[in-house]
Amino acid sequence: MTVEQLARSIPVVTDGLRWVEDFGDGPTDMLAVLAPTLGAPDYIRVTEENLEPTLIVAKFMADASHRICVQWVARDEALPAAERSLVTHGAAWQSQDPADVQANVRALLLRMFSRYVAPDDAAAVAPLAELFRTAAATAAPDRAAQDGWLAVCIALMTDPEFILY
Amino acid sequence: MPLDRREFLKRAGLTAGALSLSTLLGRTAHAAEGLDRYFLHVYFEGGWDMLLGLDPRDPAAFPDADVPQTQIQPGYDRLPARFRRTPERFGGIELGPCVGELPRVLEHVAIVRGINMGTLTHEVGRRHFITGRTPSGLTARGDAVPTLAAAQIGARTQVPHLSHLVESYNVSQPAFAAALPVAAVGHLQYILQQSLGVPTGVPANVKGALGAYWAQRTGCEPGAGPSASRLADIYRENRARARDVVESTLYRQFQFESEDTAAVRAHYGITAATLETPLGRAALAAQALKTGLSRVVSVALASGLDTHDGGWANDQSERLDAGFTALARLIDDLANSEAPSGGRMLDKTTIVAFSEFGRTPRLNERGGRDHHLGNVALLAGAGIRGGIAVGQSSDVGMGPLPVDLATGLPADGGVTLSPEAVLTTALAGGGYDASALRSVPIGALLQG
Repeated sequence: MTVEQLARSIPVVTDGLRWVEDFGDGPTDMLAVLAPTLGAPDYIRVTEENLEPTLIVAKFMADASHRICVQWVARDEALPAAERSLVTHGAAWQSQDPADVQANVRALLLRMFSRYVAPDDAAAVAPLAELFRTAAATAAPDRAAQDGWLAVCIALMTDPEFILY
Repeated sequence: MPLDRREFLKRAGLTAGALSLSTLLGRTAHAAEGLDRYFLHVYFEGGWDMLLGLDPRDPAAFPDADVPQTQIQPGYDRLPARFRRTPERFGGIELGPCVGELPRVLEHVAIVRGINMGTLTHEVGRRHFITGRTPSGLTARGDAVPTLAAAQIGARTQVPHLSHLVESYNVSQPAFAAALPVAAVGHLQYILQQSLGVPTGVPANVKGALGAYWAQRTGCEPGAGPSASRLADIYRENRARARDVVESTLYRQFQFESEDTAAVRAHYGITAATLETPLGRAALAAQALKTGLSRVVSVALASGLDTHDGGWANDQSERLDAGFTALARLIDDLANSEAPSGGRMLDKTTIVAFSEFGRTPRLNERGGRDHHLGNVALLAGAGIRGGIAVGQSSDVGMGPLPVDLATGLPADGGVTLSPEAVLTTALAGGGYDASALRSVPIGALLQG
């Protein structure tokens, strides 16, 4: 997708989050800063968008996903269940029940990739569910679910299916 | 000291981006170890003034009074005082007043004069000199020559082909040969360092889990739409390369304010505040080649040369001079650096410096110069004879004269030089396969 599409898509799927850094002189939208190198035209020298998923696009998505997903996890956990956008299924945000995890992964695939996965299609959600389990199993005792969803979030945002269509 | 993020952010986004238009379809093969070569493509943006630089004329022989007949007006008397001098001869080569420190490295340099561009349009001239093929309308045809070089060198570095502010094209070469475009020196520092060095808050166990997840998911998912595309494969490949890059410590070699790069700073005379200058870009290019980050670099060392108006006297002279100084220091740096496989870096590096066309030899009514069909170019490095000038422009209107390719001298029945001939010569000198350009090299410039 174009830089403009990416800039609009990330806040939509994350419910308003963007990669913003503050280096002491106010918030800076990193996507806007790096847009020329990511391939956005300036309509002076470059009039055609470069849609190639270059190394810097991959690097940007890695960095952006780290910053955004950390925020998303922290914010989502603190919200009432009805207002959450990351963990939307299960009795509790911290639930590690495999059925809850699978249901959430299904919801996130729909939210981030527009890919519907039928409830009985366990194979489609298995890799991400396993990722959740691995990250949660190696987390500090009070961070199991946070680390699990953080890993899933980063995996989704850095997947080619997120930036290609 | 880490990257000065404020400076990075201040400059970033203010510069135009380079453009890479790879279609990248059906090509993922990694080349085996290829040529032990480096390639440097240097662009002077906007159309350079040949009279001020590489193809001067003595004003005594071309006085203003004769302009109606000669159509040549050196105009040196209109330049800022420091450039107001007649051309000087260095060895056998006469150079204009705005060539910076180029005379210092002239022994390494070959100049090609009398090139016919066949266009007065920026995009056409630029793309012709990037690809070695006449564009179709404004649209480039074929691969960029640096991309051809990168493909033949092979995917032996983390960023095989780096481009700073120069267009690049990849239509038939492996994906790794496509240029990684960076629009600012600071952006390369961004690429090389994890989140600009800011802690991300992602714990190690999460990174470990993700590493294992990605290692198991190197291919596409059945029926997964975009995940099954060739672009997705390229993205996955670049995602892995991005992780490799940030795990290296190469970024230190591009932090030009650090102790590690004191020698670079001294050689190029740069500070953290002057990275986005010709000297800063030259330092970036040299470091990319010398540190092993890239084997092929395209870089714009001068911009804003499209001086049609009264700003010509100041702007063209200053920018051209600064560009040649940056190029000279880059050549000097490579001449004094040892290649990892032995020998001098310069002897393994093919250098082509070009602009999209020259400027009219006659000043226009606004005191500037317009687009000219004739052009010059500069070659140096691998397999290229230094201290020589070939080709010639005429003494009336500076039109390209046909030359004998074997001698490089004007000859009736000779060949009118083209970008294809220049680029073929550069590639042939470096031992590359230049057959894609369907031209013949200028034999006079080839060593041995």
